[in-house]
Amino acid sequence: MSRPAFQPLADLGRATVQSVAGFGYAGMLLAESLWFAAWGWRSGQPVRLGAIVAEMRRVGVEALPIVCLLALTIGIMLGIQFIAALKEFGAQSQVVVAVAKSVTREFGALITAILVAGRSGSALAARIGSMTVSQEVDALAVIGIEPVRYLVAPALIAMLVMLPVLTVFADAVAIVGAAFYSAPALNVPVQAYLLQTLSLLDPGDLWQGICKSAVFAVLITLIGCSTGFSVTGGAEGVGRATTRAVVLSICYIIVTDMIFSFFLNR
Amino acid sequence: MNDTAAPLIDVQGLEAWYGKRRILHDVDFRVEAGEIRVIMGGSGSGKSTLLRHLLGLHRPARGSIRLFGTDIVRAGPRELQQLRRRLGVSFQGGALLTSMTVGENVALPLREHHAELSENQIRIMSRMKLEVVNLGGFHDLMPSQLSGGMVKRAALARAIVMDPQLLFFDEPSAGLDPVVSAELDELILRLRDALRMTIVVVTHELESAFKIADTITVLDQGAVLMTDTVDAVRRSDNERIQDLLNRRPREVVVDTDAYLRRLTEEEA
Repeated sequence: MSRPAFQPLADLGRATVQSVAGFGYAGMLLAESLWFAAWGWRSGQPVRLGAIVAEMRRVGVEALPIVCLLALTIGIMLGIQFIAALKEFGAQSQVVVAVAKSVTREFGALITAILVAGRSGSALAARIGSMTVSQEVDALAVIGIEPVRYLVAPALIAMLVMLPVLTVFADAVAIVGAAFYSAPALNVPVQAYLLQTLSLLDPGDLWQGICKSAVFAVLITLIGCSTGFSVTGGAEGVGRATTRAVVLSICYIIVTDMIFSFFLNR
Repeated sequence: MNDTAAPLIDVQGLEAWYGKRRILHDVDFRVEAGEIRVIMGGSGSGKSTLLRHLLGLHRPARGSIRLFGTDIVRAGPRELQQLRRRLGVSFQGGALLTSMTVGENVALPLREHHAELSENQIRIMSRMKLEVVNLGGFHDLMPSQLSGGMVKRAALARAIVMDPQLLFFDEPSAGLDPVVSAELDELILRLRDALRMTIVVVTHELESAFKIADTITVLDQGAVLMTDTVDAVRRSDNERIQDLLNRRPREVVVDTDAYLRRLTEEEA
């Protein structure tokens, strides 16, 4: 029996094929969504504005309070840490530039994306997953509504608009949070801290965060939707897909972030 | 398209696989306009798989499927879209979109395919169909607020809202009490008579099958055992059909070698 000896190899091969298939599927979802958004109306499959707006509200507006709260906390935290660390060199005043750059380039986009992955990525996976299980996706298809056009494209567009917007909000709130802690510690007024921040930031810093957040938006939507569509096995499968969507999204977000930072800051 | 002579559904040599398991084996299936065809068979006989192929939800491994004379395996997206306007489907669990009210569910096909209709027209047309299935006044409820029988009827209303020529009905009486399922059978007969629909019903309920069917196709282990009128099926001397009709348990002949293989092999 030589089978057990080759079993790990077979498993590895199977996992590889599956992950390549997953990439392909997500790529197809992306291409189809973009195609429907651009040309769908020509073939009677328009992406409805109402659906996009509803999705934007769910993804963006409803997430705003929690994003602001977390951004504020992260801002204060960064202020505390930077001042503590920079004190050792007697360079506390450099906290302004440290916070400004790290928040706009890195933390604003990252925190927002992780939060939205947890809120909306999981919701997408759960919604599409339960629709797959209850044959609602099939029903859409036989009615003549392409499920990708109806379920994925509005979510993708909404996410592409709202995640960068949320990121800009998070940037601003985090910097204000840092100002609340650091300005008293540096014995300067909060307004002066904020003005100093504005003079130190250049548009490139903001753009870096915004570009990243657009990429994160695509990742969250595609992972959420593709895990949702591939649900099998009833309610338990939906639960598993939801977990999987969140974990995968966050992993991909962090890895992508690292790669971006590497290439953008050389 | 005036193809009254050609059958509405014409399936030839259909073969379907699920992984290494063959689900359908060389299935020929033909339905003429205006008839009620019941696809009957036990669990795992392949009737749901056949239905999913007829709806274009699966691609067959081999064989051709023609609806209204169009080969749905080779049809382009636009052609398929046109075709789908002419058929209605009522799924086993109803498959109503849970995020919409019953009324919005029924109106959905109209909204998607007839952008020229005004909100008023859509409302009136969808409520008319809800009246047809005896759900008048329920349009504002959510699907989760309906009973099992009502969900099936609402799904039927959505399936017929575009006045399709061809209606598919998956397990109309599964999970319903006898009275409600008898009502659904009546409804199916009424639809054929009043709206001249061709109806394909998938079921394993004998009573309902015999009541509504013009012709019955019996599937067993992925192959068509026979397609004939109700009486002919009743009289059939095929053992498997009689087992099905008389609720006799299958006599499973054990192939010893295969049995041992299944028990011992890792990848069986």
